[in-house]
Amino acid sequence: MKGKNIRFLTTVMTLGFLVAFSHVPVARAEVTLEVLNPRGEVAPKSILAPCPRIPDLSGKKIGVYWNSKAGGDHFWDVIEAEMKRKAPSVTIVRFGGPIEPSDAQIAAMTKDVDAFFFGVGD
Amino acid sequence: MVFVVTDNFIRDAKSGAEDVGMPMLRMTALPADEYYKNRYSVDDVKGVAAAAVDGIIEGLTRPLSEEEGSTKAKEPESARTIKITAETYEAAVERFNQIFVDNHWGSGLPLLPPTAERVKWMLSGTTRSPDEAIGTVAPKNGRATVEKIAINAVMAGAKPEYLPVIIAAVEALTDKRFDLLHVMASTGSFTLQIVVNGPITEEIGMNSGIGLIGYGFRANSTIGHAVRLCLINLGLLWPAENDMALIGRPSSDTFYIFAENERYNPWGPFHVSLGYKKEDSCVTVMTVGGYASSAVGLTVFGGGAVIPWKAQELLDNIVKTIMAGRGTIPMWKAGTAIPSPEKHFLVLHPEFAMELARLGYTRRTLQQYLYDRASIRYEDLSEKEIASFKRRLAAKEIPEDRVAVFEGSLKPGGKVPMLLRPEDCVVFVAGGIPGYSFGTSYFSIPIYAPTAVMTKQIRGATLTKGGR
Repeated sequence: MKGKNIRFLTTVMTLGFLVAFSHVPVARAEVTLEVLNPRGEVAPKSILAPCPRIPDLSGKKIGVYWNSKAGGDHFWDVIEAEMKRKAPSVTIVRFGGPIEPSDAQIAAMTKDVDAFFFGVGD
Repeated sequence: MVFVVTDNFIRDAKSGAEDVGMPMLRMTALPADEYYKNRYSVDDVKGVAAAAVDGIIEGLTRPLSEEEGSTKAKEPESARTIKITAETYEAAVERFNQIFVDNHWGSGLPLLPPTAERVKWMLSGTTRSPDEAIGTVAPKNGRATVEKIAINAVMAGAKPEYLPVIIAAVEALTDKRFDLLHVMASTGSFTLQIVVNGPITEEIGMNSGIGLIGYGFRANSTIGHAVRLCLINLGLLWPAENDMALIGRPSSDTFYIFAENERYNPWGPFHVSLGYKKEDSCVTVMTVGGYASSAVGLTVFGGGAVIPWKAQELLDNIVKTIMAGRGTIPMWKAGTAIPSPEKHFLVLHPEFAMELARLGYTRRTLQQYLYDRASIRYEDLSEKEIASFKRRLAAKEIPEDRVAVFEGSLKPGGKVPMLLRPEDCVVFVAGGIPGYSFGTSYFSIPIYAPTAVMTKQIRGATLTKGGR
């Protein structure tokens, strides 16, 4: 009887230790790699908000710039016809030129128009 | 204003708008899968345009929102270091590589972590100050400093003795006269060719012989890759976001990079022909390649070990290559996608160069010979070709010093050259014996800046005699 009690107690204690140890946190190794940032810093620039919108096309002069990539003029031919159909009093002024027109070219194109489209064939 | 683009370029357009301080620029996107195939004629494109017109008009007329009207700028990135934590060093390096490619800070190839210790080691290769500003890198004009270049050089696996070469290459690419934007962003498969001259090439073990544009030489591969990483990280560049090369760029991870084989160059090293001293070391960068299949990558003119060859055959092939551009004559217009005639970069293998020298050619007379042969009789020009040359003269697109040549040739009995000048055949000697001669080309007068070839002297080297 005594031996049975000792064996019972030993079993309970062993089980108890096993349950206890299974919840002890194991210390894990950790490596931190600190690397320098390879990215170039971009100088902050002042932000321009878009110009106010026109209420509609009626009586307006709309500039259309096309950057000369092949086929785009066909697209703008249709857009021009459609805009005139929707607003018969609209005037469309077409411009074409380099991929990146100069400031002087842009100033000349936009000085007499109410609004402007810039078409990029990409 | 409303910006009209195709939808697969909308990210590029938004990125470009941010670059010029107009993040709220209104844009209308056309379906790319419909626009490109239907732009041949008005009838073909009618459906695409009709479907887009209401959106285009709405862009002009819908009142701006409060957010659109804001002029508040985004805070720029400014973290000096990035920390990566993992259970083991190997896991941390793996995580570093994944984070970097996920954030578009790497090229897709494995990177070495640019720790402070490693960057300090890299900087031991130059006397130049880490804070020295080299330039800004298109398209987003990130600032290139010596330290930033060193960080990217570490990532590429370069050694400190290569750093002066890498710095000189970035110096050339960021020179305001060099059109970097086009080769970084174009839909065409333009790429870079980087040629290194001078004593430093042997000291750092650059290949100039057999396999010159291939693998196996740490200097060639890591210098090229470091330049690529600099362009990605300092230009803030990424495929399909602002690098729109539709099929990518040949040799995109390292570019074409080699040393000239000066020992076998019968006319003296290339950099000496530009006025540098033989003991100087220099880097020359050039944009090469094109839009259409025949212009992408290299053209091999001949040579090799398989079929016997004669010098005249290779000369004829070079002329044929120059003349293959004849179809673009009516399209040459400054500032457009085909802005000018081409410059040709000829890499002659040593046997061919030595044979030409034996036949009496100097660098100059070779250039003149090719220029003369690649000229078209006035009587053989089409009306469109004549009109194109005359338009270019009237619009002052032909350099002043060449106007008399073109005016003089555009009449009966004249011969109109395909090249702006004889020097537009740029001659290098490289490769081994046996070898192939090959060539690349690009517009003589690019779109966004005056030139697409730039040479810079290598300076500040501490670990080599060359490049000091």
